[in-house]
Amino acid sequence: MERFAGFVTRHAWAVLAALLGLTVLSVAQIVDFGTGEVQIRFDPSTGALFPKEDPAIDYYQYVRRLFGSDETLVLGVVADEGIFTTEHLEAVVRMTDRIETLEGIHHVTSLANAINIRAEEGELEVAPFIRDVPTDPEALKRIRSEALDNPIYAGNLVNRRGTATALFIYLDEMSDADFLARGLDHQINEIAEEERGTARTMLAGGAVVKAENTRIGQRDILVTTPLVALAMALVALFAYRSIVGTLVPLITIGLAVAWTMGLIALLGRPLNIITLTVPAIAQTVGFAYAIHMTSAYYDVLRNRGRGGGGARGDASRDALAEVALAVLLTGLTTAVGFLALTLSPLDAVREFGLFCVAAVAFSVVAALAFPAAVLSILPEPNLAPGPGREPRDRMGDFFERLGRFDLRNRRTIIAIGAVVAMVALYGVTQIRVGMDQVGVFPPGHPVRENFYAINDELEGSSLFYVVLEADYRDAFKEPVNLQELAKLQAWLAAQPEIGGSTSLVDYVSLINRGFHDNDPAYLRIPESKRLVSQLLFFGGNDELEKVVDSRYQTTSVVVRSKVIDSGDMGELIGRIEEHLATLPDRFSPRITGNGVLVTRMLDDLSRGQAVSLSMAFILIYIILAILFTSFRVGALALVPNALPVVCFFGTLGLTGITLNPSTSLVACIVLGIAVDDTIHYLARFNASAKRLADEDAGAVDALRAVGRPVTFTTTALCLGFLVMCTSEMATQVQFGALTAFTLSLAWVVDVTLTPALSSHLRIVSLWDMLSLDLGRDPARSIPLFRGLRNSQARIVALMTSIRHYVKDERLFATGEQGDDMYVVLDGELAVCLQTDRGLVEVARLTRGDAVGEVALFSGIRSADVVARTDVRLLRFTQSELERLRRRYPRIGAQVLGNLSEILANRLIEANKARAEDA
Amino acid sequence: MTRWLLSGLALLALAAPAGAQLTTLDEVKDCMDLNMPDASSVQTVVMNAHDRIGSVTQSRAKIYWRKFDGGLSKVLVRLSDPPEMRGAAILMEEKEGTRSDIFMYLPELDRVKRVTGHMMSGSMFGTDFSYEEFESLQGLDNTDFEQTLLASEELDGRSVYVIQAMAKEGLEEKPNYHHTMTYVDHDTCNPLKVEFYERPEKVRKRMLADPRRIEKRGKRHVMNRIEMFDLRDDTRTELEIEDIDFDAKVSRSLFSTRALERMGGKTF
Repeated sequence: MERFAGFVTRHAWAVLAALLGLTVLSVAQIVDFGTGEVQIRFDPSTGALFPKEDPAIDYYQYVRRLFGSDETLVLGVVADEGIFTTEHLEAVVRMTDRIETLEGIHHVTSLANAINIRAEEGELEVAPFIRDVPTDPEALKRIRSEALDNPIYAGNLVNRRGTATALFIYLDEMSDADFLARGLDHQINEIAEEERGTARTMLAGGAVVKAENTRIGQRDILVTTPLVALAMALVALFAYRSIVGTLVPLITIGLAVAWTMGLIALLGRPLNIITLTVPAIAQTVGFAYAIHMTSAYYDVLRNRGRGGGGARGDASRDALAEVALAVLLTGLTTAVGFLALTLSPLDAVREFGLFCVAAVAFSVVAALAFPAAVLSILPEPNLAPGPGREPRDRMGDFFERLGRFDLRNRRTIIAIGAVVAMVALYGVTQIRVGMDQVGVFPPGHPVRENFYAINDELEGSSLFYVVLEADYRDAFKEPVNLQELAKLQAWLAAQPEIGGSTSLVDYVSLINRGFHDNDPAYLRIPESKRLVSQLLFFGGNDELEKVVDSRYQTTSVVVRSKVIDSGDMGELIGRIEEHLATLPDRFSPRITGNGVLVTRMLDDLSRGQAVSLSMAFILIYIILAILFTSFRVGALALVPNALPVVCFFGTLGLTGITLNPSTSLVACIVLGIAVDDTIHYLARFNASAKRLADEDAGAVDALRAVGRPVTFTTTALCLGFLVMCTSEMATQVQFGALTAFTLSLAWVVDVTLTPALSSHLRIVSLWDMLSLDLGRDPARSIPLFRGLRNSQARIVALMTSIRHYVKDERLFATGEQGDDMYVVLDGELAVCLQTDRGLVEVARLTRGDAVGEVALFSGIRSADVVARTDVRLLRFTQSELERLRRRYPRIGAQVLGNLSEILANRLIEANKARAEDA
Repeated sequence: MTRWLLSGLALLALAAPAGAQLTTLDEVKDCMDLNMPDASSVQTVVMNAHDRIGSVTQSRAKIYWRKFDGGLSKVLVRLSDPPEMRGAAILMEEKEGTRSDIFMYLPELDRVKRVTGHMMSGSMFGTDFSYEEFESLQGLDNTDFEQTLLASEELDGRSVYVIQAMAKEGLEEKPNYHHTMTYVDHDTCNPLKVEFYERPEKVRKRMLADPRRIEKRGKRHVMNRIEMFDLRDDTRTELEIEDIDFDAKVSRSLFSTRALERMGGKTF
C-alpha cells in the first residue's frame, strides 16, 4: 500500500489528468455535446421491472392480444343529483367525441357510444344508449332504466345509483414514456374540465398513476440531488472546517457518479424506477470512502510533531497508505453485498445489483486516486498544536470515554443487543409484502383522491382477467360450459373485494333477451348450442372480442376489483386460484392482468430479497472470515452488521410498512455501509491492539480513531437520505426515513456493540499474514513452529506478538517478575547470570532459541537477557497460548507440544549440566 | 362510397370505357357500373376471418342479387357453413335516398328481425366487413357520403382514379367513417384499394384487391378475391368468390321476409 500511495502522490498530475480524461469521456456518453441532450433514457413503467422471459408475462401479452388491454383509463363523471340529465349526458357525449380525437387514444367507450340492444315489435335496434341527448324527462328516464337494466353496463359504465358514469379510455399501444411525453392525462383532464359543466370529473388508471409517479420522481431528482450534495458538503465543512476538506469528498462523489452514469449510457440501458437510485448509491458510497481518506489525511497532519514537518505530499501519501487497504476491502464487501442482488428473479433488481457493483468499484477508484493526488499538490495546512498546547480532540475524547463505557458494560450491551434482535425477529414474522400504488401519493393528491373516488363510485377500478381455455373449439357456445362460466361469475360476485365482472354469459343473455323482444325471462343462457351460435353470429359486436376468442375456445371473465394494495390482491388471487382448481377438468383456468403481474413481481421480490440477503451475508461472512483468518472473528464481525438489518426488517413488520421495491433496497445499502464501518473499526482495532499490546486498550483506541469518520459519514448519509423525505411519494419518504433510521442504528451498534464484542478478540488479519516475515522456513529453523505449515506459523506469530530490541537493550533481569517467554526470530541474545564475578554470559541464543520459559510458569526471571545485536523476538504469555489453543485447537496443541519438548530438552540439558558439575 | 366494391365482385365490365382516360366522377362510376351484372346474379363466397392471434374462422354463403323496379337492388345472403348457421339468412333492401333495410332470419328461433341502428356498422358474421360495407360490396347505395374525384395517382405501378367520399354533415345518424378514399384501376375500373378513415388522419380499415387476381369474363373484369384489414383490431378477412353466375334466374319472391320464414332452415 505504501508503494501504491507513493505512486499516486508522486504522479499526482498524471493521475489527475487520467481522472479528468475518464470523466470527460463519461460525460460525453451521458450528454450529447452537439445537442445538449441527455443520452440516458428513463423507463418509468412497471413493465421494466418484469423479467424478459417469463411465461406469466408471455401469457399476459397473449391474453392482451386476444382480448385487448386491461390498462384503460377511467374518466368518472359524477353528479349527486343523477347523471341522466340533458346537461350531464351532453357533457359525456362531448367528452367522448373530443377525447377520441386525441393522438394516442385507441377508442373510448361511454354511454355516448356503448351499444344497447332494444327490441320492439319485431324490430331489433342495436344502437348507442344516447344518439341525440333527449330533453324530454321520460326519454331520459328510459335511458336510465335501460342502462341500469343492462347486466354489462350496470355497476360498470354507470353506478347502480345512477349518479356516476365512466368513460373507459383505451390507449394505442405505447410505452409509459410515450404516454408521459404526450401528457395524455393532462389533455384528458383539460377536456373534462372544459366540458363537465356542474358535474365532477375524475381521471384514474394505471397509466395516470405511472405518469404522475414519474413526474414526481423527476422533480425529486432535481430537488434531492443538490440537497444531498449540500448535506454532505455541510457535514464535511463541519468536520474539517476547510474548503479543501469539503470540496475533496464532493468532487470524489462527482467523479464516481459521472463514471457510473457514463457506463450506463455506454451500455444504452434505460434507468427504471429501481436503477434510478444507482446515482444515489454512487454518491453515498463515494462519500463514505472519500471521508475516510480525508479524515486520515487530517489525522496525519494533526498527529505530526509540533511545527508540522514533512515534505509536501507526505501527509496525503501516509493517509492513503493507511486507509487504502481498508477502502479496498470495504469496497469488496459492499460490492459483494450488491452482487448478491444478481440472484434476484427480477431483471431490474439484477441490473441494479450490477450497476451498484460498478458504482462501488468507481467509488473505490475515485477515493483512492483523487483525494491523495489533489491533496499532495496543495499546500498542507499546519494542524499540529502550537507550543505549550495539547492537541484537543473533543470528539476523540468522547469516543474514548464511550469505548471505556462499552468495555465496562460489555455484557449489558450484548444482552441489550440480543433482546433487540429477538424483538426485531418477531417483527420480521409480521412483514407484509405489498405495494399500494395509489396510497403512496399524499392525502389530497388528485391521483389518489380520484382513484379512491372512482373505486367507491363505480365499485372497483382495477381490471384483471380470469381466463378459461377449453380443450376444443366452440366449447363456449355450449350452454353447459356457459353455465359453468355463470357459476364462476356468481362466485366472483360473492367475493367482497370484487365490484363486478363481465363475461360472455352477459353478452349471450343480453342478445337472447333482445331477440325475444326484451322479455326479461330470456335474460339467460339459451338451451341449445345452435341458438347460442346464431345469436352470437348476428347479435355479436366488437365488444365480444373482449370476452371470447374467435374460436370460442378461450374466454375471459373481466373482473373489476376494488383492491388497490398488492398484498390484498395476492390474497384474492390465492382464493380465486383455489376456486378455479375446482372447475371441471375440461377447462384450463388462469388469472392474469397487470395488477396480477405486479403482485407476483412483489412476491418474487420478497423471495429474491431473502435469497439475495442470505447470499450477501454468507459471502460477506466468508470474506470477513478470510480477512480475519478466523470463522469465529468472521461471525463476530457479522453480528454488528446483521443486527441493524434485522432491526430494519423488524421495523417494517412492527410498523406495518410493506416490503416493496423501494424499501427492499434499504437492507442492501445499510449492509454495505455498516460492513464498511465494521471493517474500518476492526482493522484499526487490530493495529491498535498490537501497538498497545492490549486488546481492551486497542478497542478504545480504535473507536477513538474511527469514531470521527464513521460518525461524519453516517451523519452525512442520514441527512442525504432524509432529504428524500421531502418527496410527495410515500415510498420515497419511507425509503429515505428507513435508510436514515437503519444507518443511525448501524452507527449505534458500531460504537457500542462492535467494541464490546471485539474487546477480547485477538485478530489475525489476512494482510498481517501476508506482510509478516518469519524468515526462511520457520517450521525447520524454529523449534516452536515444528510440524506447522508456514501459514500456521504466521497465525501463531500474529496471535502472540513480535517485539523489536536494539543492540545492548536488556529484555529482563534476574529476579524480575514476568509472565512471558520469547523465541528469537532474528539477531542474537546473551543469557547472563549474576555470579560473584558479576554478570557472566552463559549462553548465546540465535534464531529459533527460546528464552524466559521459567518465568512463564514461575513468574520470576532466573537470568538476565540482553540483546547482542538488533533482535526480533516472538513474545507470548500463557493467556495468549490459551487463546491460541481455544481459537486454533490443532495449532495450539502442536505449539504446546513443541513447547513441552523445548522445556523437556532444557530440563535434560540442565540435569546434564548439574551432573557434570557434580 | 357508393358501389365501390361492386365492380370487385359482381363484375361485369363493358370493355369500352375501361382503360380509357376518364375525367369526371360520373364517368368513373359509370365505368365501375359496367362491371355489374345487368339484372341478377348468384355467387358462392367464402369468408375467412383471421383474428389477432392468427386463428381462422370460415363461413360460406350464397348471395342472391337482383335489381328491382326503379333500379333499386335487393340482396339475400344465406349461410351454409358453419354447420350450426346453416339456413341463417340476411335480406338487404336498398331504399331510395335513405339507408337500406336489413332483416335477419335465425332458423333456431324461426323468426325474422328487422335490424336498425348501430348494427349496420358492426361486424357482419364475425368478419371485418360491416353490414354497411357488405351492402356497398353488393352495389347497394350508401347515401351518407359525398363523393369527389381527385387527381389520378400511381398505385403499385398502376394508374388509379382516386375518389374521396366525405361523410355528409347533419345526418340523423352519424356515419361510421369520417371519409373514405377509393383507388380505382384505370384499366379495369375495379377498386384496388379502399381506405376507411375514422378520423381525418386515421385509417381504421383498408380493403385491398390484388390486380393479378382480376379475371376477364366476357366483357367484365372480375376480381375473385379481396381482403379487408381492420388496422385498429389487427384482424383481417379474405373474401373469395368460389362460383358466380351472372344474370341467373332469381325469383322476385325470394327477396321477402315471408320467404325467409317460409324457407326455414333450408338451404338451396
